[in-house]
Amino acid sequence: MKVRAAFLFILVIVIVAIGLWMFSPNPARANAKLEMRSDPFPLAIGWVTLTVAVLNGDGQPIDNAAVAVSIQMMHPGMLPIHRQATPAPNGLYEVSINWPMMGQWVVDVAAELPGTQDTLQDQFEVFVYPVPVNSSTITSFRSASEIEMLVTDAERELHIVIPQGTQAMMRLGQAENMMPDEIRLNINGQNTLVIQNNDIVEHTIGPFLVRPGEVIRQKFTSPSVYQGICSLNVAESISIIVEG
Amino acid sequence: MRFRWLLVILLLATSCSTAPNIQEVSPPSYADQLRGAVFNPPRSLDDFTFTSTEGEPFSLSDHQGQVILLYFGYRTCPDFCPTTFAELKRVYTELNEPADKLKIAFVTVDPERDTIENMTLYTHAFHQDFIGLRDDSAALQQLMRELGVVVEKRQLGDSSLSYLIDHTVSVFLIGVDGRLEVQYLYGTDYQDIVHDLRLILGDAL
Repeated sequence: MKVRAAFLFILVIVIVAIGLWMFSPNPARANAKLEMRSDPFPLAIGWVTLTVAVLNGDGQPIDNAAVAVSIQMMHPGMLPIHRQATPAPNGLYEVSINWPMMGQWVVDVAAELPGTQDTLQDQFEVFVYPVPVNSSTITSFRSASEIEMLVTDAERELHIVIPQGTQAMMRLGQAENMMPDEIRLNINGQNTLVIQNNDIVEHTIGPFLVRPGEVIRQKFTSPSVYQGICSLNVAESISIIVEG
Repeated sequence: MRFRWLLVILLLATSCSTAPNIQEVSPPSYADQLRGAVFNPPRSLDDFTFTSTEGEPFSLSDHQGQVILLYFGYRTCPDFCPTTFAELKRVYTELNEPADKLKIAFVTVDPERDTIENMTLYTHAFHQDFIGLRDDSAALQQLMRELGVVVEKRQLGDSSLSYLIDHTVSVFLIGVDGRLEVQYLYGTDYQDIVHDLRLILGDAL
C-alpha cells in the first residue's frame, strides 16, 4: 500500500513538472512577433515571394514553425487565397503568390510555434502596384500589432495612419480624401497628434513632413491654428486647430 | 475518490498555461517625454556645409556631439523670424548659454538680400553666440527638402522691400548624432524647448 502511494506521489510530481514545463510562459516566446518582407517590395501584380520572419521576444529566429499565409483583397466578394509557407534557414518562411490584381490587400499570417500549442497571428495591410516600383526608404511591411503598439493613450491621441499605396490610389482617383479639411484637437482632451506613414513616399500634413516609415508625435499644450499643405487632401490643404 | 486529488493537481498544472502576449507595449522611452513633435525614428540628414557668420564654414558633420537648433527665415521678415529668435534667446539664456553644447543657427531663405555681413548684425542682435548660415546652392534646397521646409516668394507692389517670403516657421532640433529628432512649431513655449534640451543634453549642460 505504501509503495503504491509513493509511486502515485512520484507520478503526480512528474506529471505536474511536465505540465509546468510545457505550459509555463517562455519569456522570449511571450513577446514573439512576425515580420514580413517581399520580393519585389512593395508588391506588384505577378509572382511575388513573401518572406515571413518568426522571431522570439529577444529578436532571435524561431525555426520549425508551421506558417500559413492568407491573402484577401479589401473588396467585397473576393475570396481569400491560402498558402502554406516553406521553411527557410534562420526562422524565415517563404511563400510564392501570383498576385492577380492591383489595390489594397490584407495578408493574414499564422505561425504555429514548435513544441507548443501557441499560434502567433498578425495582419499586414499591403498595396499591390500595377508594376514594380522603387522604395529605398522602407523595405518591410508594418504589422497590425506594430501599429497598435504606437497607441499609448487612446483617449488623448488622434492617430493618423497613412496606408501603403495612398499616393497611388489618390493619383488614380480611387481614394477619397484621406484627410478632412481640418483636424480639431483640444488641450484638455484629445491633445496629441500621431502621424504614421506606412506609404512608400513622403507625405505632408500641415507643418509636418512625414517620411516613409516614420512616426511623428506632437502633444499640444496651448491653443493654436496651423494651416498648410496636405498631400492627403484633394484640395491639398489642411488646418490643424487646437482648442483650449 | 482516491484519484480526485490527482485530478485537482493536474488541473492546477494545466491552468498555468499562458498565451503569448505579442502586443505588449514597450515601456515609455526617452522620446516620449519630449514636448515637441518627435520623429521616430530620428531622421538621417545629408551632411551640408554653409557659409557662416562665424568666419569659417559650418558643416553638420563638424558638430557631432552638439545639439543644433536650426531655423529657416530671412533678415527682413517682419514677424515670425524676430519673434522666434527672441524666444530662442530666452531658451539659450535659461540654459546658461551652453555654447559648447548647443548651437542656434539661422539659415537664410533669402540669400539674394542676406549677406554674411548683415546676417552677422542680425543674429548678434539676439545673441553673440547665434550663428547665421547662408548658401545659394543645391545643398540648401536639399536640406530644406529633407526637413520639409517650404518657401514662396510673394511680390509686394508698393513696398521698398519689393517682396516677402512665406516660409515654414518651425525650429528643428538636430541631435548629437546629426539626425533630426524634434520639430517645434511656431508658438511653442520656450520652456518646452528648455525642457527637451535638458532631457537631451542631461548632465552635459
